[in-house]
Amino acid sequence: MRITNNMMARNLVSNLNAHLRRQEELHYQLASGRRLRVPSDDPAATSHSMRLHSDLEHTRQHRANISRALSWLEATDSVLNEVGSALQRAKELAVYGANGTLPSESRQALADEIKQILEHMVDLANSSHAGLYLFSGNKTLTKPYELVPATGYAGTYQGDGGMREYEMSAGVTVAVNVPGQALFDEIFNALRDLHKALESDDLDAVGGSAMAGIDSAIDHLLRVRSDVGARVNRLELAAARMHELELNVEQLIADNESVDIAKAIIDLKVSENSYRAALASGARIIQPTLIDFLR
Amino acid sequence: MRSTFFGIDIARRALQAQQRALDVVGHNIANANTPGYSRQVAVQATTPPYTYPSRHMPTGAGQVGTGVYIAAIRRVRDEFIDMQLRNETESAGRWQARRDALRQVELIFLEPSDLSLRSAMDQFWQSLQDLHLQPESDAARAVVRERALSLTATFQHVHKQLTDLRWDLDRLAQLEVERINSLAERLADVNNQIFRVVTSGQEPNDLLDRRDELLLELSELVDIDVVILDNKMANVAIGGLSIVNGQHATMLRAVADPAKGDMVTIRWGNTDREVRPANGRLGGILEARDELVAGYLDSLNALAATLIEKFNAVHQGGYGLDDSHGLDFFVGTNASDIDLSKDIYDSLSKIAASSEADTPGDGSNALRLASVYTEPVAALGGVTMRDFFTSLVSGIGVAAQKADNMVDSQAVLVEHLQNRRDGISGVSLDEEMVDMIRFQQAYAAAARVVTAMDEALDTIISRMGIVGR
Repeated sequence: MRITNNMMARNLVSNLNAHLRRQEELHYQLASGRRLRVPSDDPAATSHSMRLHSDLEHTRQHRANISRALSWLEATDSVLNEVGSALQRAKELAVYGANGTLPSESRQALADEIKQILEHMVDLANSSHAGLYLFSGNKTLTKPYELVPATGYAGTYQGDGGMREYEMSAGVTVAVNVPGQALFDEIFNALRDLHKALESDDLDAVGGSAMAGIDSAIDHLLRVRSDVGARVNRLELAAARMHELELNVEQLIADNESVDIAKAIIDLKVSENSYRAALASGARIIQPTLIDFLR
Repeated sequence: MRSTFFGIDIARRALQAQQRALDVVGHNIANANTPGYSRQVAVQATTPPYTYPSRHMPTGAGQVGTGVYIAAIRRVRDEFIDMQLRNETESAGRWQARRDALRQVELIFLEPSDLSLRSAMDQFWQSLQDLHLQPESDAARAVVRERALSLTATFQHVHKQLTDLRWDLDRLAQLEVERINSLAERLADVNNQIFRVVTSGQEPNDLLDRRDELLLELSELVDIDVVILDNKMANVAIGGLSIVNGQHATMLRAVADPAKGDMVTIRWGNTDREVRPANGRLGGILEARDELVAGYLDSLNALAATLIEKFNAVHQGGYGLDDSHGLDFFVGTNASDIDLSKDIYDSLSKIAASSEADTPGDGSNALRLASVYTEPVAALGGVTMRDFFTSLVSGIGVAAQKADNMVDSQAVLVEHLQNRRDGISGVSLDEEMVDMIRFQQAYAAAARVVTAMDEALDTIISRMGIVGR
């Protein structure tokens, strides 16, 4: 085949362009640290990357959900802890009051203290977390109990039985609240009975049905607390798993999107060398013609 | 008998022929860098030989040569390669147009990045998740509204940019039609000149180069069929209908078509029939306008319509903080007009986060709203909205990658054919130098022949018959 000067020039230019294009690409990768600029750089990796980014958002959101759930449950638990102490005190007072040798006036004093405990218990049942009532089910803006001035005891429950469900992983929810009705109604009834028994100096009732009522309320509380504890455990496990998952996804994203620096540098070096070689040989072959040698 | 000045005549012809050949060398060197130029050769041939007239038999040996003349000046060209080059250039033009359009589509979708539609969807999802954690909170509701606004704005923005791109392609198609018309007119003109030269019995070498160059330029724009006539004129047809017929060119028209929303349809100027280019830049531009970008717009609209429908269905089933119920969250029908409903604009309490009335702490409907994204939708072919969008983007990536590869491989093919064409038609300066020396030497030698003849004649004329003078 005949080789003409224009052919050599054209081939040289197109080869130089190819080298420069490759170098520009490698330079972008090294300068940005990213392998993907537009989807066509690697369509499969791009769609993978989009999915991973969404997964990462999801995982992070679920971690945030879990930590919100834990904070709600922990607030609940610490209130329930105080409820427990108050009930213990009521139990002590009941035991004390059931002692037949105790004079009636002292029993009256015990009744007053039970009244105090009852009022404290209403406050506890009305505890709020971030401005929301912990124990009124989903009617979080409604105070669950009011002290009825006429009787001096707690009124009826104003909340509902709604469970506050938080999503802890895709499609899996966990209830973070304890609707207060069952527990607190029992506690208030027990305290009321005890108060009445002490006030009316009814020794049998103090040591009998009222005491049994308090015991049963304490049992109920323990069941609720162990349920809350179980939920906390489950959430903590899930949090650890989500944390692990988040790290994994981040690693996958890095693997998928970031440049293998060592490889890019070597590629750049190789491309640079062939570019130089093309320049050197180009400069040699396009210059001389027969004209240079004719006198 | 040989005429006295016969030898001088041979030398004269030789001088003239070598000079003409040197002229051709000069023309070649001068046009070494002219695009489309094919080198020319002066074809030297012997003039008709001379036989001594004799009554019985020749008294001398054979026929006597009478010298040289330039039989023709020919351009060196392989028209088969020209045809191949035109075919590959058509495809190169088509893929280039598609690639240019797809590059812009990729930029419009901005993937992978945090500024994309996917990112807006993820952020909206996130705000709904936050809402289900604290459905009582106005702050969480405000974030949902803001994220929803930024999602609808992103939908509208992408829609507008894709629509603008279609209009840009439309204008580009009109420009290409003008270029095609101008090339067709110039071809008809060159045909006319070729016709005149050929009928006068000469070779229109440089005009033929111009003709081939115009054909090549035209083939980049649109797929053409070329027929070279015996009189060297080129007839050109698009889709079987003639655009250049000898000295006549038929114009194309770009007509605004109400059926395509006032984008243009290409029609024949004389018959109004539609032209459907299948290749070349014009073909690629129309494909990008009517298939690629239009298809992406359809997908985007389908996604927006699904979002509006599914999201509203869940939203209507829920209750707001103010116990509002049955309200739409989004309004609109597709990506161009998706917006928040007036209720949501006016009141954050109307975002239906709860599944029941009078339960401000119930965020279960917000959670259901969030999961709209992650549920398969029959209208999108049984995939989730998220996956639908992901595959839309990766589909664009695959199309753009293919276009990139095709542009590259067509460029290699075209370059290869250009090299083959150059291998035959290109000017090699070395070769021309060698020829120049050859013709120069032959010219000098012929001049020497004149001198020799002159001396011989001088002998006869000046020195003979002086005895006794």
